[in-house]
Amino acid sequence: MHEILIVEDEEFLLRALQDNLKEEGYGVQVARNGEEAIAVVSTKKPSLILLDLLLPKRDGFWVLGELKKNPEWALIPVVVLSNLGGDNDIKRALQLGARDYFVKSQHPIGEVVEKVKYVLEETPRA
Amino acid sequence: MASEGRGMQDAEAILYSIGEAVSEIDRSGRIRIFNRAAERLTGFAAREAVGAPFPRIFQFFHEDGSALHYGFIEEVLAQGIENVLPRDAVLLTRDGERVPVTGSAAPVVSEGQEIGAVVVVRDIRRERELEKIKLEFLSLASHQLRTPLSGTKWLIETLRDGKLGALTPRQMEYLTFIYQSNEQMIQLVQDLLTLARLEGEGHTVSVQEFSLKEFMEESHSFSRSAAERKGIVLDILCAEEDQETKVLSDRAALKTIVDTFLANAVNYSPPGSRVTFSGAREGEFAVFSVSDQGIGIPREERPLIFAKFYRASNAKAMKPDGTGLGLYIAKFLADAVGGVIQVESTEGKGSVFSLMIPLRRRGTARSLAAP
Repeated sequence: MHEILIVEDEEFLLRALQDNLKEEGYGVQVARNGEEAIAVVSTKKPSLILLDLLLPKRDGFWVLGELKKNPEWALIPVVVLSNLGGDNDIKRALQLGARDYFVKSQHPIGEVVEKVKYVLEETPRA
Repeated sequence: MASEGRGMQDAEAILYSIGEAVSEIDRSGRIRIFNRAAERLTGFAAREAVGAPFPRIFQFFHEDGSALHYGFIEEVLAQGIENVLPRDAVLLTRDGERVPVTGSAAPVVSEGQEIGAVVVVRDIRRERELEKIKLEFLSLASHQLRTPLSGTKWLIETLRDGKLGALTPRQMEYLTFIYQSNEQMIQLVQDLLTLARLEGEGHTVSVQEFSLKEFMEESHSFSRSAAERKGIVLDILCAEEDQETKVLSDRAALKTIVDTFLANAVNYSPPGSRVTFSGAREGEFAVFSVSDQGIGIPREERPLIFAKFYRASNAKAMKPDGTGLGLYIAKFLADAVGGVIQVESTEGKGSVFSLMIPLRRRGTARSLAAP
């Protein structure tokens, strides 16, 4: 079973993502800030990460940087879910290795789930 | 006459005391009058300025440091016309500071003779500062507003799609209303954010090449589902020989403009009607048109439809929740990419919105913010 790590500090967004991904049969891990995210990844490497950018303590950009540094983690696909919609934020996240970028308010949750499925099908299993 | 003499003295006192920098320059280009506000603004004392050639005291540039492309004061002296400073003008002060300013220059006419130019310049640092604070606030507020809105959106979608069990038809109906209302709020926040960005920074044109056909298909697929939901047929028309015409322009800006036309056509047309989206090459231009059989625009309101937040009275009655920003943003972007928007409309019959753009827009440029 694929494990998805959701990094999100807003409880209701977290809940909506959790319910929809579990419904699709995915295992779900949760982190509410950047440090927690890296701690989870160190313990059990997920198949995919859904990453918010504005987070308490360490933010999503920091998480992307940490993942990139470690060859074990660098290939985990990361889909950014953020309400930062500025061109610079998007460019920066993609440069740091994010696979895709969703401005949350502009996409139905169904599209996020579809994206997860699509990326997992594309990514060879480690 | 004594009273006239007194009048002149008063006028001079007023001129010296006025809060805006005022200077008179004679026909030979030397400064004759230099008031207190001019001293404060430029850093030059009146005794240094008076008698000096004006280019030594008044040095204007664009914000990016480039020279003005016209002689702001020179043209007034030489041609007797009135000039205004460009929107992004700065004045280089004696201390080397660049102060954002607005200003005008006009000929001074005495007894039918042009005897020089009068220049009025105003320091707009404070306005700029306030504008910046306003935009920062708007941008932050928009981001903060999106978070709870996207939460509501996703939670409703989860409920609506039956992930938590079946809903009764009435529950579903209510949920749909809540969802639509939330989507309107998301759109409003989105438009406000776009507006804040455009008015703050202007639009940075970024050019890429694409074919008429691929551009039209993208916009068509974006709007088709909204049209279908409303029972409107959305046709797409592009002559075979024009389909592969290459356009070099700002694709994202064009898409925003065309999407606005299409969304308006769908929003303001009755179910069962037809919307036609056509694209064609006309010489060195590409023209995209969206025509509908909708409510049209009342004649007397037509000049107002591109104004910020303006909504035509019949549009408001039909769809109370629009933002009134779509066409304002579209016009702004059209100006930035060198395009022209045309509107034909008959109230009660329908409208045609067209965008005409040059096929090849050279290089990248930064358009100025709208006035």
